[in-house]
Amino acid sequence: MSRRTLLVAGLAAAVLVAGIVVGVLAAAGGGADEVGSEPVASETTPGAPETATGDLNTCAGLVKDEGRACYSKELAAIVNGAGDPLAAVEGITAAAYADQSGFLLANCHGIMHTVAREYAVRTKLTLTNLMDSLPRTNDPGCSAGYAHGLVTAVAPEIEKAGPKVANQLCVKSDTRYQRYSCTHGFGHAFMRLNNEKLPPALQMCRELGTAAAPDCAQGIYHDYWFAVNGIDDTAKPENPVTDPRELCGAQPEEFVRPCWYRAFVETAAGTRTESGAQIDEMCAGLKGLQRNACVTGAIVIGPPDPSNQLAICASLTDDEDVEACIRGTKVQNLLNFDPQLQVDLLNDCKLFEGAMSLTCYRWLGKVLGVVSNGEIRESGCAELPRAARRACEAGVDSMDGPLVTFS
Amino acid sequence: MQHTFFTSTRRWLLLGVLLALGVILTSVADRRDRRAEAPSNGDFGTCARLEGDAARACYSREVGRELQAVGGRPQLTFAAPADATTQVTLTSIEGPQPLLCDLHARVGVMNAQVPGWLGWTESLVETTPRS
Repeated sequence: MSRRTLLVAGLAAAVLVAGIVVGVLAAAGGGADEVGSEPVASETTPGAPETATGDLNTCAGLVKDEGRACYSKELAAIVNGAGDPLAAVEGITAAAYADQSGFLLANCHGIMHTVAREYAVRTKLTLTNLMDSLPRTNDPGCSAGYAHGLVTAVAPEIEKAGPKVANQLCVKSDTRYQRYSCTHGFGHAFMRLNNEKLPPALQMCRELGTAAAPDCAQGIYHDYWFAVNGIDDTAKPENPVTDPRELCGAQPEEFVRPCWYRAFVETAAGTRTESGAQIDEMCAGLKGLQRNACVTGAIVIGPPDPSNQLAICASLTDDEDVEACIRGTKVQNLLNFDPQLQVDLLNDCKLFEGAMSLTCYRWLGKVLGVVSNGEIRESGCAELPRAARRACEAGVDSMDGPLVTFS
Repeated sequence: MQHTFFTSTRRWLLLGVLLALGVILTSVADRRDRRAEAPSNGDFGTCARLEGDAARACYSREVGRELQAVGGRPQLTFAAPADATTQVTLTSIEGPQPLLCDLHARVGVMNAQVPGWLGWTESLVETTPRS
């Protein structure tokens, strides 16, 4: 072989090696950005159908329905690609709480409904393994939304199994909050089974028994507003009633409170209750149960700090209004924070005098009992003066009953 | 003649090798740049291989990184209502937003332990205990 041939071969080999190296580098270029083995969004062909890759950056600048749809798609990609989906949901939850903008936290519950429902359908989730797939946290935002989405997906099986089996499923929950969440999820499921029609769905809640029916109804009304807004793959009803006074005024007595509670949460976007006078104005003209339920709902869209809510309640002049207002205290907002804040909140019942302060201790004992799974009895009630302690403990004792105005 | 040929061939060979090296170095540099520019994208491939607490921490970190990059638009802020002197509440800077679950919104959370409202400078709503 001539020297010339050797040199040409050497040149060719150098170019070949260079090509291979460049090719390998190019192929590995997106490795750091992958979700499982899917390509990153930035590498998809322009004009090709956009594939979710778990990149929330693609949602930047999108608001309202578009924003939520984008987050749903990208978070679904993250959960679907996870080896441990529940850990992914809990990690997303932690990130949502830490994010100072608050957008994901505020929207996460509804977004996770969709993420979980689609995940359940894709993995062919059944009633048998439902409980193993539910989050084991008391978080009412992302995690509870994920739980409700999973329950919604197995609705036909729940119907087939009957109310007794359904109740038994929720009883298996690790904590009281998780049991509440399970029951609320049934409400969503029953609405899907009945094409978003309230009367037959509420009837299915009734069949769960009086201990569960009102909390199931909370899920019913939640799904009703999903349907009104066309969210989570629901079909918008024809001529839906969107005035809470008209809607809740026509509901069976046992479901009036859940109806109002959810109506304010879902319809009063942008409105924040800031004073007793504002509550008076919102609920003007209503009487009895309708008025009480309205007042509870009105304070739910009040300040995020439950202490500030109680301060507004204390400015109301009618005893029934005050009691109804206390029922709307968002103790859930204290979750994940120093438990001392729950004790401090109990002490805020001193804002009220006489019997009303005991009413406050009792209600807060009940709902703080739910979010602490009963621990508030030792950590909070036990620190109170005698009468307050007894009221608080009575509240904790009642936490296994229906919560009615809670979510 | 032979000498001229080898000189020419060596030149071509040297040029080829230099070109190849140039391409390689450019690719490596480009890849490094892309890595440096990409911290806003979560590394969910790594998280997907983990389970339990390790996975939770990983997803929390990576989703948090993306949220930070997104900037959380539309932003929610605390603002004092025009007609009140004391109460601070939750508002949206982009007008009414159909927040699905603003019941649980806790805007202003500073970290996992301290709620933002504890840092508010505004005093709480004035209260009059009922008689």
